Amino acid sequence: MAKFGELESAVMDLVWSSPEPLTVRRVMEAMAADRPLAYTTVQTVMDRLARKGQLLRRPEGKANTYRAARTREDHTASVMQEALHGVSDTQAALLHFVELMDEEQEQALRAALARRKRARRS
Amino acid sequence: MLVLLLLLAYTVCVLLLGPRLAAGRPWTSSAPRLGLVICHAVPAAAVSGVALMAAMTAVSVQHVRADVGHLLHACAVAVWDSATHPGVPVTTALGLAAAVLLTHLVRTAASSASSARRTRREQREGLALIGHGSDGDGYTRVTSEQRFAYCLPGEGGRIVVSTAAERELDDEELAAVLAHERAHLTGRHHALVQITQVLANAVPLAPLRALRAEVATLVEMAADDRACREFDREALLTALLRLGAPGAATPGLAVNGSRTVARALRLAEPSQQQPVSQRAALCAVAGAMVITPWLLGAVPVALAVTGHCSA
Repeated sequence: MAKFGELESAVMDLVWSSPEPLTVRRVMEAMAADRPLAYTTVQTVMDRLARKGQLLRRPEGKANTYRAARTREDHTASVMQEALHGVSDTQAALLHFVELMDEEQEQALRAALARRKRARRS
Repeated sequence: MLVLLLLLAYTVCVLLLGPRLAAGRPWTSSAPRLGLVICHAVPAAAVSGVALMAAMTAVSVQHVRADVGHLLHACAVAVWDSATHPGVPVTTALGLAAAVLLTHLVRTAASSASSARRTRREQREGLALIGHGSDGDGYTRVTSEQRFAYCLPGEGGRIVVSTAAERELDDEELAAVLAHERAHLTGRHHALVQITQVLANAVPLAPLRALRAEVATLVEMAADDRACREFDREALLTALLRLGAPGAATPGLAVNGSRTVARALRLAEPSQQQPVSQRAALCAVAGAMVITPWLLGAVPVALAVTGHCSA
């Protein structure tokens, strides 16, 4: 059985690209081509996503329909916000490749690099 | 008593003066890994000092309260009678202060670790829904107009690169960036940063803040060096300039360009390695810093053992 994370991602892809709310059955059918899953498996994955606040559930007739709580862009923005927010030395949860220079620093650096290049050539 | 006071004085000196060995010193950029060793001798020595103070007091206080039965305990008692005779209350106060500080350090470390773990878990869960693995290159690609690359430690670690950053870099530059991030993960650099960070948070003194900043810089330089073993310096330098340039429209990404400038200049012109003798001396200093409190702590024990044998 595939990992939950993968299935969650696949379900979210479907929900995000669907113009209307989806039922578990619709999601199962849409996924059937790539990965045939039991109804209960899809149900479990979607319940988990609803519990995590990623999907909103609404009863409609006999079945529940699900839609994304946020757009993909909003979700991305919030994950990135968290990653980029605590870059300073006060948080060591993750390490960034580089910290931004301001205009002045960048110009000074480029000038210094150019000087060194010239010096090496001569 | 005397030993306790010495330990106290030593710990204070280490906290105030220890960081000066490395923080803000130009030599560290030519030997970032040695710099990291020196930087971490400070927390190691300080925690040793505080822990020994607390432990020694605990032994002496216990003797005041309980009946003392066997020899080992009697040894400790003899030590403490001789070492502490005039000022038992002062000793107890010092020991209590040390115990409080130790508890404070442990609690700060625990809360810092759990908050980092929480952030990482949220990142992993968030990325699981949006991040798409790049085929076999070992990183997670996130669609974003902001230019960034970072590594997320924990559970095997993960490197995240935005599509905007990918566009900005050519293949070799991207490979150099990935090598830099892999060096962070394999070197457990986040843990190194966290140690000095906990110390600076628990004991808010300017030298310790400088130490934390130094470590944050040195892990980047160490990762740069590691990446340069596999990839061209020029590629890493260009990547640094491209992703660190202002106007990358990365709201939230802290502007702390001085670190980036230092890294770039260092990549452009590798500085001379320090002579071996100097490096050896620095290592010796770091070792001595950590061993000293233990030697101080061993004095009363040694006195007790010899005292009992002759008696």
